[in-house]
Amino acid sequence: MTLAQSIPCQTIILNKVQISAGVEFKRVESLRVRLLARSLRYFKRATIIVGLVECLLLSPGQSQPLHSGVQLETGVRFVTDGDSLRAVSKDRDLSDIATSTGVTQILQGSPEVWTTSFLVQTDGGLFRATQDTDGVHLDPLLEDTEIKPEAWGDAFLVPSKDRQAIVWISSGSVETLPVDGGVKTLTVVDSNLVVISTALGFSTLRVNNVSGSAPTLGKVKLPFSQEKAELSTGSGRAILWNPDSRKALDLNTGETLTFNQKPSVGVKVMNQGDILAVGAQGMDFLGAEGGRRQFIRPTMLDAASLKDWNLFRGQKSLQALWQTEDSPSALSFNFVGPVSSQTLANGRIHTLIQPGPDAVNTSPLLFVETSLEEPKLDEDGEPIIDLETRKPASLKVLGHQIWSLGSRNQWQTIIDEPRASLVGPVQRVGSRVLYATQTEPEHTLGESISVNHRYPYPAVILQSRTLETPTTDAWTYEQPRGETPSKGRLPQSAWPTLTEKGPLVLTTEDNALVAIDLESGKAVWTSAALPLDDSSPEMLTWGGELFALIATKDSTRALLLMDPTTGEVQKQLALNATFFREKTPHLIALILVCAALAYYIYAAGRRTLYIRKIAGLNALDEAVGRATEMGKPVLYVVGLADVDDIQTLASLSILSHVARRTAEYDTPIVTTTARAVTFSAAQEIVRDAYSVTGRPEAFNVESVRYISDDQFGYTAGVDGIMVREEPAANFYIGKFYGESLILAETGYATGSIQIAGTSEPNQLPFFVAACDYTLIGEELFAASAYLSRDPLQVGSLRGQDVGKAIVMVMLVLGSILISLGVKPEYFTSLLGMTNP
Amino acid sequence: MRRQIPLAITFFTGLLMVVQFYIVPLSFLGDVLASWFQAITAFAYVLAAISLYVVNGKRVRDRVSGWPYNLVLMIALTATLYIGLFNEWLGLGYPGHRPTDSGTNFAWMFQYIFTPLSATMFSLLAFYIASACYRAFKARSIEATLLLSSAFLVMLFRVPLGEYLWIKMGLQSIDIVWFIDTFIMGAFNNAGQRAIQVAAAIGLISVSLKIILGIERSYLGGD
Repeated sequence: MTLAQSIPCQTIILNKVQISAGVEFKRVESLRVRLLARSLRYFKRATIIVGLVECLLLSPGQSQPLHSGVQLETGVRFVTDGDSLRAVSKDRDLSDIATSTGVTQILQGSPEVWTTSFLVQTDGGLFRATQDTDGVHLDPLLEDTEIKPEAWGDAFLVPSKDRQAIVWISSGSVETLPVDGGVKTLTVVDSNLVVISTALGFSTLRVNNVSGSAPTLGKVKLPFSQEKAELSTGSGRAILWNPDSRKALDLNTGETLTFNQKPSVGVKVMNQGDILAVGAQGMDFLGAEGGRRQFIRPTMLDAASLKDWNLFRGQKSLQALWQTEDSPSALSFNFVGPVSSQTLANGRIHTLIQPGPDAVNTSPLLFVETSLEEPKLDEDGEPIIDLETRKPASLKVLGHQIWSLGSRNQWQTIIDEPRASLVGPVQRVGSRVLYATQTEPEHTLGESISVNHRYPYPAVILQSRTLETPTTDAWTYEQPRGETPSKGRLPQSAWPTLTEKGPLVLTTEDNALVAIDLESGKAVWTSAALPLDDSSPEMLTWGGELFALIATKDSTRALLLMDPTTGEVQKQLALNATFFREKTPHLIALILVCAALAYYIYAAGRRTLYIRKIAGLNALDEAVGRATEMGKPVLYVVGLADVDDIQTLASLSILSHVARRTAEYDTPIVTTTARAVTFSAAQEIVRDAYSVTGRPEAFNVESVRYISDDQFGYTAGVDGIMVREEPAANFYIGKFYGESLILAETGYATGSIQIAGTSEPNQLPFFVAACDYTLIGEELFAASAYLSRDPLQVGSLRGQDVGKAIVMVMLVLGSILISLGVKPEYFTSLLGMTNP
Repeated sequence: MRRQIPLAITFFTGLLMVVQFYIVPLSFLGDVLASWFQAITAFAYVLAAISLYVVNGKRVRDRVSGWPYNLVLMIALTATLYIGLFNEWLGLGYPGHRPTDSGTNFAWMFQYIFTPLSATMFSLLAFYIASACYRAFKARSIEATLLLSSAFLVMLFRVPLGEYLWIKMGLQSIDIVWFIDTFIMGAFNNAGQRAIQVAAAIGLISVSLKIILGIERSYLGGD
């Protein structure tokens, strides 16, 4: 026997305790230990203060989009926050529209025809909202469907729920038109023609000449094999073609077109309705006004590798822009006289801006995204090594080029900015092109990168050029820096302008709106800070006098009514739904259970309540007593979860009881924790337990140990304690995962009495199999009341039982009602919920 | 005051968390408080690390039984901390990389030391399940016999061998897997698990309510 083994267990665990005459324990705490304990306490207090300060500096930041609304002839504007329907009157008053189901989207109809009604997509399907003198009514059109309707002229089209028919919804009527073969896809060609792809082929839907009546459905007879048949649309034309056939069908005229070769690459309808069929050997050009031309050269590209292609008719030539998967370069083909091709740029075609139909002496502008590889450097200017290839890593720097189609039908670079990447949309607004860039700073080998921690992202620079003189007539506007980067606030698809001629309205980095004059690029006005969060504004005009902006911040979503000339906010209307309606059942259940609990807690003081015996809790004292008799320590395992888990809190309550017993019996306790906050809480609890029993000097800092955050690191640590220190009683109480059986079996092997408690259903069988007593689910939460016998707490146990009875009654009742055919939707509508 | 202030904070925070769950404009508070908790946790880890050094250091100093294990733990903790914090300063890492990036010394330690050790611990579970089953599945009573037989069926027919044997016995007309899935696992097992879950959920509400109202305060210690 070694010296260490011969020493009584207490002296190993409580290193500061000395046995005196075998009866009295005297504390001999050194100055060093006292100082350490004091420093720890001060550090803990400092930690809490610093933590709270840091907490206050953190702020939320998320948003949800809102949808633009619809305005009826009454002047009332309807908007939705994705759940409820709101009406904004001419007087700018906001009112709720009572709906039985959540309104997710308002579908914009043609204002000339949809004067008193509009369509809304809801959780329960498609509804028509009608406004009359009695208010707004919602009538179901298609229930339980999530398919979004397509706008077609003044009406909407939507496949039926089983996709076997097409539903035509006009402002006055609804017609269901059965489609043979079902609706696979639906393509709106123009206001007169819709092409429907079915399992049996193609059908067309054409406007009926009789005003107001349903459209006519017709089946398309193809002049070629239906297999591989494809549809190409554009500029109001629809062409059905087959890559294995030289024939094609013009759906607008019903004529059969013949190409000189099979269009294996594809068929495109160009900007003015011209058709270009591209095959392996060349192209067939069929003019919209008649006439045709064949281009034998160049050899065309493979359809499989084609990533993007864009065809358009320039002023004096036919132009094609190509991009393939395997080549980063953009190619242009110029079809006038002899065909010529040109590699435009080592980059991706971003946007082609074409002049309007009435534009004279203007050239299209092509925006190309370029990229260059630059050595990656660290803060000291040293090249960063790619750990996979062991070579210097490189940084992909995005830039852009702008190409213009010159008078000789050759593309020329007018702007080349290899470090300025395009951000936001590239869009033509009137005679100008609007786009934004961010410039990556220069990185030079051997030079340290200057890192601006406040603005780690380059500034967003808004740029504008005219189509006539893009190189000379241009302006730039740099967004002033603020609290949050403005890149995320740029619009996704289009630059928002108040009118066609501007001004452009953007969100600044300081949550304000800035209006920028389109001609000069100067800020016209800047609003005060608004609740915009990271949103981009959305304009809703009101007769040109005012405009509204939907702001999207999740906590203060609002409709802002502003003066377009000054940016002054005239009215702010809160759009938030105040209550999560889908959580109604939770709330009802919570109120019922809490009411039962509160009643019995209140009643507990007036009469004695019976508590059934819980063997596991009765055995707690027995287990501590056994450890005392054996002169061995008690091991208390709190579980893996942090103190934000209620099981850990319940476990800490039981720890308080166990620690008090160990303090009374003078039995060493080892408490192991896997989380730092739990460690601090457990340490305080055990320390207090010793204080309450009048023996604060007996507390040993080693009695509460932090082991590891890692699940199996923790398991190995606890197993090690079991094997080395051989505790006589093991408590596993709290939240456990896969380590439960490893712990319990090790404890079994060391011959300890074991008590476990968890509400994890998957771990309970392991504990039941390997431990002497197990607190199953609710028994864990009843422990504190059971052990303390505090009347208030005991009352809560009765309340728990009543809560269970309520759940049982609801389960039985629900099962019966469902068996009788009552739909769950009945209850959800009864509760006014959006989602069951 | 030492009691009242924590109880007041608990009451206010608990109530706020309940309200933010139902009220849309306050819903962001849940995330805010969660981030506060993370901030506090980060500081608590310093205390936990100090505790590790104090507890294990004393055991090494006093040459307590098994002290070399404590020494190994301290060395591992120090080495991990040292390499993680001073990776680049020591020239051990790669310029421009964080210690946790793949390919660094820190990541190497994680991949080739930590992960196999964790897997080793986890693999013990297979053997412990066998030993626990051996002890638990004994036909001592009617209930225990039912448990034994249903466990036998579930274990056997959750592996392809069971199905193979069933077919070899010429019983393919009886869909035993369907029976196990539908009745044993789908009905008895599911019902039992849900009963535990429902009761635990109500117990959880009860404890939460008691904590919010300050009736349950033993987790604070002292009472």
